Amino acid sequence: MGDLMIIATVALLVLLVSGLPIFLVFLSVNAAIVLFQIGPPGYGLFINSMLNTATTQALATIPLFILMGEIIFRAGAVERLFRSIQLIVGFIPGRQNVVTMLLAAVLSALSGASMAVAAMLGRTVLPTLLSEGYPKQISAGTILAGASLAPIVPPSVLVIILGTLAEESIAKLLVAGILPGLLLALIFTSFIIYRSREFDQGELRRIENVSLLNDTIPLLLLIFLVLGAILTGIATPTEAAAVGVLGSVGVAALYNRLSSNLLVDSVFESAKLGCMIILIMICAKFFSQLLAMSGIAGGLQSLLGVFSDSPYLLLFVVMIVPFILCMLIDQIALLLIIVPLYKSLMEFMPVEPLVFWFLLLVNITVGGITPPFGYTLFALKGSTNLVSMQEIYGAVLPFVLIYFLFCFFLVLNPWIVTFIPSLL
Amino acid sequence: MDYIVHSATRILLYLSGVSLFGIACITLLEIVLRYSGNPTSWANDFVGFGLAFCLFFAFPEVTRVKGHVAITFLIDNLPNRLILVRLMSLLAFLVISVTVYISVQVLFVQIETGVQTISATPIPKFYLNAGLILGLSFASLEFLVQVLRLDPPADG
Repeated sequence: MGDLMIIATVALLVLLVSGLPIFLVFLSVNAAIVLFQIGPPGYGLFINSMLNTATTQALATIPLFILMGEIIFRAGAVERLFRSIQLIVGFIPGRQNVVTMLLAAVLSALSGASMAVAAMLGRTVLPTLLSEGYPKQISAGTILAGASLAPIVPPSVLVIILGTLAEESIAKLLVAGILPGLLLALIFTSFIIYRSREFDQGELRRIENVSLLNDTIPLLLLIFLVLGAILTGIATPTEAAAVGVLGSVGVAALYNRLSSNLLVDSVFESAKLGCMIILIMICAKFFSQLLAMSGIAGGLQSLLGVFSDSPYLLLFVVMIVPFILCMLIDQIALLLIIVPLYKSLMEFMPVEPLVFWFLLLVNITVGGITPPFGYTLFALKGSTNLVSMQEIYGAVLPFVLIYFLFCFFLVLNPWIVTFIPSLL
Repeated sequence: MDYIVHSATRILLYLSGVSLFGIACITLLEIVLRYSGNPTSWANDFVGFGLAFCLFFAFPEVTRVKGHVAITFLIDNLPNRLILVRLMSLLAFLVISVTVYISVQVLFVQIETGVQTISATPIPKFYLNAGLILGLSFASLEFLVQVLRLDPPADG
């Protein structure tokens, strides 16, 4: 079984980059193993694995958070946020890029998907930045760095998937991202201001229309409502997401955009997006179970045993693999393959599981914005023709470097990750 | 054939939307009931069941709009991409059909043995499997439609 699973894993990796839909790659490999290796006794295992994953209550959090984001975006929140944040940071050098970064951070908290944030800002904000004379490299880099916060800042779709697979508390993993997310947003913003000082000294702008600021308050309240419900233990992440949906309906009503069409369209779109994401998990779960049963995890333990005297080196090796793979493979697919394997390595790690899984999350996030194949880069390029792929590559490199340094910083200061979860 | 398959896909999407709306309502109701001292024993289970139906029934529509996530950077610049995409759709049709076959075999066993879900509020497991079969069947037919028609290539 072990040899078969090694061949199956290699076949899976090849098929993943062949252009086939990811769910189909997992389904094909699983069906082939069931039909040609296990036979009819495996039919029940295969189908039950799909049914059990599809009925995992924690995964309901994903379509509910997507629904919350859909309702808010369809209610016109992006334009209102952009105007409001512009007024707040009107006096800062490189203010439009700072606005973009803050906007990306808030949108990340509302949507949880970096590709969505990058595409949205590429289409709506990038043309404005370039028309005002902001350099392409800084502007594109700002959008990508801001969008990359989405998997880290709660609520995050990837965290829910990671928590489900790693059997870690989803609530703790979600809130673990608050402090590092804020810190990263602060570092990115400082970096942007520093780089913008040469071409933009900034003008002191008065806040002329205070009512515009009021547009931001309902959205911030919504974020605090969702996070507060989880942090105080009033609600589980799924319940907090449902509360978020109710809150987003309230925000749409406040903006005078609430209509039956908005709600119906949002529900259908969320069902589709949720299906797109969770379908991959439904099809991949059986493969993960086979991997766990095959003894590959034990083999990996022995293989990495050479690093047992240097736990930090082991951590580095274990983290560099998903970082490289994430430039080629979808983040969810990668999590589904490596999390069952990495669970067996936990005892050798120099950091506690919560920090380990969080580091993994940051790593695959950085993989998503790392040239040449980072997924989020393509999402930005796909949304605009104003920047070339070459310019995007150049734009994002400083932020990738910041992320690297930040990872080392987190390993040395794990309390940044564990402090808020410890309050739960 | 296109019309019938797409119409069924549309109906399933409506059912998927209803399931998602139901999940949101049941979850909110459970919070209210819990804090008023009357928690239900069934809410969590029904959220799980609702999620399954929501996902299975949205599957054909995601297929129809070619919304599945794929890693396409290698095939994007190939000269005969349209043929390749059609071959992939054919493969998808075949693989999903095989999965439907396996699901149907399991369905018969589930009906025969009367096996139920392991939950606080158990329901016959074949209900869920029937939903899976329905979603898979129409998704495979949507792939077949893409094989037979001159559709533009999927963007992944």
